[in-house]
Amino acid sequence: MLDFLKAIWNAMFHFGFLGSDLRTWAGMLLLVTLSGVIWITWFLWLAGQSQNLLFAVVGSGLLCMAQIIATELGVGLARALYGPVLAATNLGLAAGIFFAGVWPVRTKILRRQKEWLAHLRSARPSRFVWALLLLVALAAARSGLQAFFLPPREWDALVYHFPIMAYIYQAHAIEPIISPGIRTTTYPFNGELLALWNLIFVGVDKLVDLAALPGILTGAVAVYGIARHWGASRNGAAAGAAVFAFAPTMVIQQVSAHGDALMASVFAMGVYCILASVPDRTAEVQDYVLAVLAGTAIGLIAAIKYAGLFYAAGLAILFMVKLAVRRSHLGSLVSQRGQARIVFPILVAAILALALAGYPYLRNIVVFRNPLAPFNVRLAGYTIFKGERETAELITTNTPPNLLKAPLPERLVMIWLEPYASIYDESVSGSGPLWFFLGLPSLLVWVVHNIVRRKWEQTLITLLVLLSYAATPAFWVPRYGIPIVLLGALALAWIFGRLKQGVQRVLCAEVLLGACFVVFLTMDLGSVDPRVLRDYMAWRTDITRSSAEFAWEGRGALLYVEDKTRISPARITYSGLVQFVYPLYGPDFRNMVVYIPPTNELGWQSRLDQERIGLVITVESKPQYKWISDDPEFVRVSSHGGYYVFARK
Amino acid sequence: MSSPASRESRDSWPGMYGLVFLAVTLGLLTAYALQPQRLASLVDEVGWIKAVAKLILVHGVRTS
Repeated sequence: MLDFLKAIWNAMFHFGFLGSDLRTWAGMLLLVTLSGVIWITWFLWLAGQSQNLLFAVVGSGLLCMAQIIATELGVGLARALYGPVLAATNLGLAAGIFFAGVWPVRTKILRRQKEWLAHLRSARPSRFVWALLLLVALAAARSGLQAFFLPPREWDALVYHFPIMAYIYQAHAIEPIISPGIRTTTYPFNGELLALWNLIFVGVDKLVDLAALPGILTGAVAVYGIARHWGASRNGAAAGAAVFAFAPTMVIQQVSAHGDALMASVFAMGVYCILASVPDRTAEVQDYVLAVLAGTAIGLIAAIKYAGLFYAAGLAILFMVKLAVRRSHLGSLVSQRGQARIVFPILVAAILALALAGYPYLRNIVVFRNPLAPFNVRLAGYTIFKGERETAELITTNTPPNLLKAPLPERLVMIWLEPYASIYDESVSGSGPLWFFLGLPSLLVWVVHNIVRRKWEQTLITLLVLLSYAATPAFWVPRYGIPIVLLGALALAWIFGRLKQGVQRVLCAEVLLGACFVVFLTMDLGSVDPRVLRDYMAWRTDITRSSAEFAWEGRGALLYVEDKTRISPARITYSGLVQFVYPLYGPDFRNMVVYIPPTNELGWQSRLDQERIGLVITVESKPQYKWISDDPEFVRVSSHGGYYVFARK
Repeated sequence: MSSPASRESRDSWPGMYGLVFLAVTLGLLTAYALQPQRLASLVDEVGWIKAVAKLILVHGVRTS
């Protein structure tokens, strides 16, 4: 009997379902449950603060992401970044919030849930809204399937986004990363911490590509919320949200390590939370809700990517203006006590923002003496922080040469017309048709209207987005400048309400046409051959799905490492110029990847022994190549595309 | 307090403005649709989806 049970248990582990064994499925269930518990706790807390359902949904999304990142940073800095510790910390925090912030006002929250449920039952979305929701579901399903069956395979993901995540995962700590990749050691990593959350309980990289998906979907809800806040009808707000949600960059990056769509979404969420967290001007506590949400959004966005700093500054300005306006309405700004009241929320927001974004910048100051390393930071001709790279490099490397020569207006129009390649090519397209034929003309009218009618709130937000957009290096590259689509979305939502019903219907048709076009074109998985996709769907498991197969250079060498370590994992080291580091870890992180800086031959070789390195992967131009060739303990076992693999004899 | 929809209706545009705006959007849509690579992208996409569907229909997908 015991043998029989044992056999069933083993079978469940070995055969699995859809390529994942029971352990992975249990991990995924734990991930969903924990994320759900965190989100629901914050949702209930916000339900006790506001009558606005959308506000509770968007705010809890923001706070959920912030809690995940903050706890990872906390336990990581304590060098205890293990699944059980992280789970316990988050459950403890959720319990604390529940008993301190939810339980005492449970009657109010329960009443509000009933009101919201009744409201949802009575609200009848139009066929237009249903159609858009269906398209969103289709796009999300495509992202889910893609992440589930295919391994991570984007250039940036394999070169630095996921190596950052993998390093933290294996070190169980947040510490300065030892790597020859300058982007790995310097870039801020809130997006990577979200990916780590999707990895740490699952143990394989099955869901890491999906880390931004919940944030991106909530971002679209936030756009809808902002439009409704400014008086748009449901259809108008949905049309606006569609311009944002169906920009190809937003759809493609649902399943991506790139942080652009997540940054734009967090910005939209921050703007909405700041605008909507003024439901009751008399209650002092609202200031702190506003401060918590604003500080969270600012901190999240500032460490998703460097360009996020501009948008974080924009959010900070919006937050302080709203706070001051609200205080002046209460008549308390003039008194000394009133001024003290405004300082405290700003302090709360600043502490939260620093807690969420401070680490990578502080690390860069300590290690590189430059918070924005590796970039040279100049202001008015003066070098403020010295770095080894110029931001101009970002522009030249990311812009096609024929576009670089064109004047800026022509460059923008050419990029927005997306004439060069398929829509799924992120380098030269990605704003999408809805931005071009609906968002852009709406924005021009909206800006004039807001100035003429003195709509200062709208004008301020427009100004903040445009300034942040213009300050971003290579902002004409659609994915870098994607937050501008938010303005087009809000403008369309506003215009929609001013049109006669017949015209509205045609606009709805245009929105649906554009959204269908984008969903259809983004179904294609870029460089993945249909036969490869089928192979992955039909035969691959969590262990045999491999990023190495999609590396852009040295693929044969990386595949060799992948095959060789499948049965017996290894400790691996690599040299600089081995760009595609992530595949070395293996999809289940079976290999320990250690970078040993090349000091001198003897020192480096003795470190190989100390670290019990079994495989070395290098390129010919690096000193490690010569040193390892001279080492009698190692033998060359594979070479491909300039990558050489040496194994211990 | 007025509802968002009622606030909006007080500020609606004369019909002509709406038609002009619509014409502009349709003009831009046409310009976008007539880009040289557009049709090629759609054809590529249909080909890719057809190839995936064919492979799955012919060979099936393992479920365990």
